Amino acid sequence: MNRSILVYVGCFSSTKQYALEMSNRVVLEAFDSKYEELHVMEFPNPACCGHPIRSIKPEMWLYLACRLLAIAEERGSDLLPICNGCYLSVKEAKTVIDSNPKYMAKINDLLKEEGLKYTGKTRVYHTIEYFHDVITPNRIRELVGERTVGTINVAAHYGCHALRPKHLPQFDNPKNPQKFENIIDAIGFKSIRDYPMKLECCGAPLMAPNPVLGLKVGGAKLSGALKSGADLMLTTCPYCLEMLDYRQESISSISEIEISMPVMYYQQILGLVLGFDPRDLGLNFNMSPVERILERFKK
Amino acid sequence: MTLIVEGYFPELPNPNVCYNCFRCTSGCPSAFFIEEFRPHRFVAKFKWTELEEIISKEFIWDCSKCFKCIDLCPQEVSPAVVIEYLQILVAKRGKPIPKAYEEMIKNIIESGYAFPVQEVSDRDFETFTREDLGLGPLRKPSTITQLRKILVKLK
Ligand code: SF4
Ligand code: SF4
Repeated sequence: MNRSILVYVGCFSSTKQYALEMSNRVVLEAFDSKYEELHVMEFPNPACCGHPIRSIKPEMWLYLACRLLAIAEERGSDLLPICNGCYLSVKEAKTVIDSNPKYMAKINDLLKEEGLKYTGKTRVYHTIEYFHDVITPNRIRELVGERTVGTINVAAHYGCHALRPKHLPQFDNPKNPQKFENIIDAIGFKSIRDYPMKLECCGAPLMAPNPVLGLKVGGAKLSGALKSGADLMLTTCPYCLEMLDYRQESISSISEIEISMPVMYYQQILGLVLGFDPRDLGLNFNMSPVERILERFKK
Repeated sequence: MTLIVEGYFPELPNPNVCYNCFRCTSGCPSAFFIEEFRPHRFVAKFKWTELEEIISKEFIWDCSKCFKCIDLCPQEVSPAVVIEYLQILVAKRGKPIPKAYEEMIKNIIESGYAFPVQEVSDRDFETFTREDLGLGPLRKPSTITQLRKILVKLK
């Protein structure tokens, strides 16, 4: 693949969830330097994707999402938003204006002011899709090589906005996705392909309007992973991680059972296996009991 | 269905074909924990245009936007879109919206980002800035002046 991909970090990771930007950068650079055909670059001129305000200011949302596509188009690049919210936002906006010439004309009118133009040439990738379909499990296995820390049972959390609503373009089967599990197994771990609550919500979007409800929804999700015997839960979304990792103590305090589950970004665990320092992957910011996993890497 | 809000609006599905089958509500995480939150009931109220009653309820903000109801509905009614429509209606009428959203709109117009940049603590309570972590300062949109103008127009 010769086309470059612009990595769009998004507001939440740029202003708080720094571990995602750090671990994503470290891991993607490792692949880029080994494989010539992979080529990721930092997104120029970033601003919000519009997702957080879509249900209040739909016109603002549409503009903000489309300008990201137009900026990628200007560079002749595809787009990799590394947050589920940003991913859905951009994918949905693309679907809306590609099928509606009237909106496209209106958006282009506004884009002129920023010196941009949208025609629809940019493709949008999800992080899991990028690791699975572009990097591929084979290259992951190759880069990981002989490194091993023994079996770790993993519950994969895709996050709602990776695969719903199902009528939008999809990178995996929304009813029973497997690609995340495939790239987890490629590291040498054992993914639990079916666990109770696999496709459930983490509750994060509820933290703005109704935090107690958000924590309850998050608790239900984590209980499912606990019951399946998972040693670790992985995600690629900063909102999901904040919810399941950072807020785990609050979740546990309102739950009937004690909840204690290490939660990390996929990029963090992959970085660990590749031999990077936990601090370079932002692992000192995870608040769930990740030390259980980190111990396995100490020799 | 005639649009009752100006400007862009998500393609509104037809609520009149709703079976009232309850599938949306049966899989809804918010409905599981909140008695009053019933996606099929939002659709019914919408169908009978009892909008005033429903948009005055605080719990219309309790949707987690997990979109399971959209995927579950046999009639392509998309309850989550109906709920979002109601939320937009509240905002367009200038009625109170959750504070967090107002903050985010203000931030985006101001800086291009929905949230202010934060110093974060790690597990040992040590605090770090972006700079400390080698990420550099927050990248400002290079066309922020033009962007601001556009966003104010769309506000
Ligand atoms: S909106 Fe769809 S799922 Fe919900 S009650 Fe109506 S037909 Fe059934
Ligand atoms: S999108 Fe909202 S209404 Fe639909 S199932 Fe999820 S929480 Fe319930």
